[in-house]
Amino acid sequence: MDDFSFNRPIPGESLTAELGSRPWQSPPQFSTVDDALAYYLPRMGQKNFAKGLVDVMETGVPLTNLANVIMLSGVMEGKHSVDVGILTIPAIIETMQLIGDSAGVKYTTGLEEPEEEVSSSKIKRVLSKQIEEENGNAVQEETVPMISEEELEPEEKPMGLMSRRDTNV
Amino acid sequence: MNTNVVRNILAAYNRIPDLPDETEMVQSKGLLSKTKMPAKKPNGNSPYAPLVDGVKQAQRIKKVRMEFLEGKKDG
Repeated sequence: MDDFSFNRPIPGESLTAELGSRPWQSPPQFSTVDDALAYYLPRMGQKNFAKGLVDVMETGVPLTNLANVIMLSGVMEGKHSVDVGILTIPAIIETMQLIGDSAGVKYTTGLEEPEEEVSSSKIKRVLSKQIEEENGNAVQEETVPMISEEELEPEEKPMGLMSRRDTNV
Repeated sequence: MNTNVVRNILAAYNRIPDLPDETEMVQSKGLLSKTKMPAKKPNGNSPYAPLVDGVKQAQRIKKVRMEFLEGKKDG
């Protein structure tokens, strides 16, 4: 209860607005991918946008996240639907890459595989498992008694008619 | 933020081979006439039409970017 804030939306508050009053509740302005991209690409080519984008790229924000935000803002403004927006994302990312390349900025696309960090707890777990296995093998070797050849029962010789004769005789 | 959708769609787009730009295609009509005609527009009623449009646009921009990078490499 220390950090509890009452300054939050009440559950169901989103349903109190009149139906159709929100931009995303009305039919989208652009219904095709081509139209949606015709809306985005000229805006992305503007100097102000490119400058801001380059600044954000330099901070290391992945382009996938940026494209997602741009697409969702378009949906919120009622420009296009979510499915059209998802289909436009690769083109938006390509455009951002083009802007980044032309500005000579190193950027992260968000498709890079994250480097797997080996935690100390994982190392401990693996080591303890290995030690347990080694100890278990040692105990097993100790508990298994050595059986002498004399204790072994002699092999039963085949007694049938078709059995192979003893060649040593 | 869950970017799995974006990652998945980008990976899927990257796997699609280059689609031909049908607006550039030309064909002659008839045996004797040599008039160049633009190819027929693809059927807009196809359920994959939006996807094809998106892939074409992305590939077009990618092509421009690759040309830019090559030009930059060459100096």
